[in-house]
Amino acid sequence: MAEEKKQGFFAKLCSIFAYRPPEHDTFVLPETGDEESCRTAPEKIEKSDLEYYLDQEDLKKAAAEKEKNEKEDKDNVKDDVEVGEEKEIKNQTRASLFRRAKSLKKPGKERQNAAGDKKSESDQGAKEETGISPDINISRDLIKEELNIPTSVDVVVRDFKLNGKVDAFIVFIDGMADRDVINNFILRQLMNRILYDKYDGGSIFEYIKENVLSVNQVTDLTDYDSAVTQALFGLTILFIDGCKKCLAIETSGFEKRGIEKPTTEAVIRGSQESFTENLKTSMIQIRRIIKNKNLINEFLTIGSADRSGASIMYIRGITNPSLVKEVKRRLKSIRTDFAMGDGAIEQFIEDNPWGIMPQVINTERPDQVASHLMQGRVAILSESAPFALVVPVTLASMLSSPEDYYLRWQFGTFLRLVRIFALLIAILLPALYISLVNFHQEMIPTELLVSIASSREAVPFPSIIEILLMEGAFELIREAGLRVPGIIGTTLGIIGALILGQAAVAANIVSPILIIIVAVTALGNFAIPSYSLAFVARLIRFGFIALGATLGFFGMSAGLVIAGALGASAKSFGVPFFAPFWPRTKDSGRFLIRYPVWELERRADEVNALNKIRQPKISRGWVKGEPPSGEKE
Amino acid sequence: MRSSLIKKIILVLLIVVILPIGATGCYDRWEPDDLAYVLVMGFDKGVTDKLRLTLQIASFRDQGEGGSQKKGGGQASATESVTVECPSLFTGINIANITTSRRISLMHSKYVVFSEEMARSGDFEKYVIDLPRFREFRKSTHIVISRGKASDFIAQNKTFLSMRPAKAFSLILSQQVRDSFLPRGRFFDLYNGLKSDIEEPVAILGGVNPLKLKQPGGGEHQESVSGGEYVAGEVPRQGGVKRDFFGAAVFRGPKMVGALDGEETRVLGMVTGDLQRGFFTIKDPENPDYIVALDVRPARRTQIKVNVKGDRPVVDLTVRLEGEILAVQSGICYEEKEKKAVLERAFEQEIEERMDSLVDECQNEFRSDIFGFGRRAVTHFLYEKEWDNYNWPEKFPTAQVNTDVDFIIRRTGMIFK
Repeated sequence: MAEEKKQGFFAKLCSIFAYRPPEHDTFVLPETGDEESCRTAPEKIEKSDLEYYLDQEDLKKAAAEKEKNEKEDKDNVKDDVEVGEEKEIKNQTRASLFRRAKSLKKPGKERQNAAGDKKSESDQGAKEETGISPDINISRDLIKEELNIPTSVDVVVRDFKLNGKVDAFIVFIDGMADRDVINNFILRQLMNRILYDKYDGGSIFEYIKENVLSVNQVTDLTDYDSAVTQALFGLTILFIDGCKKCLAIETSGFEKRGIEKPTTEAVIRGSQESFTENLKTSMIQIRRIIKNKNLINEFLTIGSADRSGASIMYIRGITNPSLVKEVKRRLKSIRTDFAMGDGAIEQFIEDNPWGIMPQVINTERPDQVASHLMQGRVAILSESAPFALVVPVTLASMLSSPEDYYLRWQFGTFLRLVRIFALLIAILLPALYISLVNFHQEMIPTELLVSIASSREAVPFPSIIEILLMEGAFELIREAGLRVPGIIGTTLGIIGALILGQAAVAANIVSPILIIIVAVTALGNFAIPSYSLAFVARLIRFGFIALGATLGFFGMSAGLVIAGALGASAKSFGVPFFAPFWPRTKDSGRFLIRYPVWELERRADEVNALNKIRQPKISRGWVKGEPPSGEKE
Repeated sequence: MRSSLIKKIILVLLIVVILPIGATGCYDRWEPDDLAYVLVMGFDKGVTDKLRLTLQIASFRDQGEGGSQKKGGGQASATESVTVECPSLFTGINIANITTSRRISLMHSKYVVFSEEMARSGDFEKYVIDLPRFREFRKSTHIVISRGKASDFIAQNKTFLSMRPAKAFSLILSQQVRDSFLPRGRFFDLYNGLKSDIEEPVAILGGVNPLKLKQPGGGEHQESVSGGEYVAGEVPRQGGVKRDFFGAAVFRGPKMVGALDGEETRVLGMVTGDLQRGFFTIKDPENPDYIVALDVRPARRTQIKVNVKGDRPVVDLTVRLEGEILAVQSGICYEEKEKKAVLERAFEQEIEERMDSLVDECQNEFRSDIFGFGRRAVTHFLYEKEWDNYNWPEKFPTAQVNTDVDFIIRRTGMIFK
């Protein structure tokens, strides 16, 4: 990205508006070099491996684990081996740890890798914070206490004997875990004595893991804390008498909604599926589009009480490592008890909570996320929200819809221009009307002016009251339309607006031309593809109405300067909101005109991807080749 | 840090938004229905005061109303007129305001009418020259010189075919330019002529038509060939409104010196480039009992070359026209190559004659360079002083004007032979 030019009046004005909380360090997305170095970038990445993408904490953990594994190799018997970095934690007593579990905890310590996450950095065996007691009765009591049994009725603890001899129990949450899997592939196997025929008296834990359980994923756990967490995620935890480990068995299978058509981002051409509330399904939807081994999927838990999961997705070798680290840094630092889906996460990680411009894209379309990932952005998927967050965001990316790329470039370009027009209409039209009729009557054609004037003859209010009445009524219709039950709700918007408008005109409360203004403004608002951006337009149009009604075009110009300064000062993860317009980048023209797909040789410049080249100069190889000769020749 | 930034933001908001509200703000705010829109202004010489001002104001009465039924029957006027006596236009507006509850606004005025009396006496300039000083006055407003009183003219200034006066009044003058019986006559066209001596102003000529056609057999029967040899108020027609726009008022400096009829105005338009298209009728060159009608447009820009080296300036004027045959009453086959040339020469000759006579009239009778030859002549002078010394207004009547008209028939209409 071109270096930011901070000079001149506009830049100064912007710097005034570029409010950052003082404790907040501004994140700057580092440059990734020019085009030449980009061409060689992939090799660099291979050498660097994943380490580029891991932050300090992750690296420490990986190092510690490596160390531990080496020690374990040397001395297998010694279970409670000391790991230098974790000394502090180890010294804590079990009781104090459980006390800690009940209060708010530091999220860094409770980060777990879900069993379902194939790409997790390592097994969680290293965690020995609350080492599992070999005495199964202690384990059972602790687990029961921790999971509030028997007060909590949906938690099931099932005792049984392995091979008729060894005490064991499984714990799972009824409904979160799949009963079929538990019945057929865990309990039946575990209690089947034939399977123990070859047991030679070694570690029963390893034997069961290797020979008895016929479930695709099992993970060793060494502390109660993670055992409880995993159980809450729907896994089944197996405790065996005499073992210092327990086994997390992948059984999660809860009731979930099927994949449905996108409702807020419908397109005519292109993929017709949207995310669901199930995180795993969402991840799979993306992976199904990008079948790339370098698509990395990291898992984090956010929220100490609800332990809601979030998943970061990015493509190794394309995404700027600093961006990934910054996203992880922000996500990990969240300390809250209950992160309500993607909306709350968005608010926790955005750069400037006071700014009005959206700083995160949220989309319900997997294909949209996939295309952003391929541009070098980072996606954050969260549990229990059918939306994905994508960072960093620019105005250009918020105004483009996946349909742009499904359609031929001429049509895509046209749609883009329509959308830009819609944004301007949604923000400015009511203000334009009010300033025209109140201050600049000479700009209205006489005929229209006379008809506006004569239609206003019987209206007792000034135009500003009229317009506020109608805009207010429309906002009511919009909000009420969401909540009115059933079929009425969908039609309320149209019918309500029509009837209300017609009645208001008939009652001489508003003039008919105003109904057109309000309706067109609403249409413009609905044409904006991003809900967040549409909300911005919805809000600031009232500001513009106020300015237009008090100061006319001068006020609107002042408002545009302020809005421009706000937008220009907004940054999303180090990327200016108005890029590629300001600061200008190499592909500044690519926004207004949707270039043909074979022309799209570079990724979005402003995200500073490691590999900026998408395709060679000649991407349509056939234009240089020979057409096959016909039969006659 | 945080509080100082917020202070800064508040300060900027105050400066940008709040202060102007106090300084200018809503004082200029007018609801559109609180204003009365003057469509036509008329200036007459006053009796009790200097000026008699007539304002024709658009009425809201029959418009909009959400498609409700028309009130009453017959033709309710879509405009209202007010006449006041006053020392100046602006006081006049204030005085006229007592008749209406709304503020009178000039920002939508379509044309300004001056009586011929005012135009000929030179009072015209006093009022017209300061019009652009007023914020609300549009510089594209047309200037009309009415034969007779402006108030009478405005009294007859009604709409025809529609009840929308604003549209009717703005269309009638812009549409007439296309038929070219009128000069362009907008304020800024005229203003240049008033302020400088490189050309003389021309205004639209208006008048009140009695709307009476002569009865057959009554008096002599003068046959018109071209069809435009009338001035406003004398056009033989019946029906429609009495207000007439036809021809042009010619000025020398601030004073009106004469009038051009419709046909002369068209020829003037050929020179100045105002003619956009016109249907012309000439005598059939091969059979003078019949006529030929032609649809004529300018083919190229008129070329004007002025030579100021000699005693008297020499103007070479080349007018290039092209056209289409509309009617050949005699049935002579003018589509053929040789015959076509005959028709073209005949038309060229006809226009050349008219042009010569117009130039002659302007040089000798009006002594007024309404063609704008001075615009060309001035390019030969480096300094304003030299030009002033040359004294173009005195030199123009002595100029030798060589006219050359070139006409090509491009199409033969929808009939080929």
